Amino acid sequence: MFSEDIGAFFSESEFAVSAAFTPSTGGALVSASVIFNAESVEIFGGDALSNEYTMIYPAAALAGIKEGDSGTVNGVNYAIRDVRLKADGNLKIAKLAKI
Amino acid sequence: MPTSSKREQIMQAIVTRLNTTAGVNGRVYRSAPDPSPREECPFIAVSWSTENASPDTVPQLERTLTVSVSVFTRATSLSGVADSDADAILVSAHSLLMADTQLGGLAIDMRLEDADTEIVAADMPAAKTTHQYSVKFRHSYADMTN
Repeated sequence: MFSEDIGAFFSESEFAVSAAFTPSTGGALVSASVIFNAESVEIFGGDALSNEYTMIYPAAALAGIKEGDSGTVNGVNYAIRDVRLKADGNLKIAKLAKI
Repeated sequence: MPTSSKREQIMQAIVTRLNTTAGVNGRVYRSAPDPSPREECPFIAVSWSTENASPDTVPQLERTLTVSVSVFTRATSLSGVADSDADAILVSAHSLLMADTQLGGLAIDMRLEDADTEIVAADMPAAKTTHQYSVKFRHSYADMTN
């Protein structure tokens, strides 16, 4: 057996970028290295386009953040739309709105 | 002498009237095949879906054309209500269409039918709110242009 180390996937010298959010429930700014994606997606059956901003991060990171919280990803301002568990639950994915 | 069908003339007349709709700055598109970029919002898309015949009208065919006028809006904040943002645009568009329900003599009458809306989260709340209009008109058996 070996212990899982997902930290290797979140190196800012590779593909990760820094993210920092302030939980609206109170508490200090939390930060982490995240994998950020910005992808155009079709909405309304292909009638219009939208941008799907997401960040993936270790589930234990960014503790306490939730929908409506605001912060930065790679220096750009975003707000959290929702947070979900991903894969086996060791990762989370947050959908973002650019503000 | 027109060369386009009465249907096409009606569609062009509707788009021309909608070009001055308040709140969209002339962004009125006809039957666009490709998705419109998010930065275009708010905008209007106009398309026709069906044209039903009433064959018992002699000596002309009576037709009922269903035209969709869809307003695409994108809220500017997470708490925004995108379909509410479409309301003033739809009011303006309806007023422009009802100002001449015969479309300069092309139609017998035009009226508002069903309305519906779709809302998606997108990166900000977005809505597609559609008003359907039925347009009654006639053309001759032999010539679709008049």
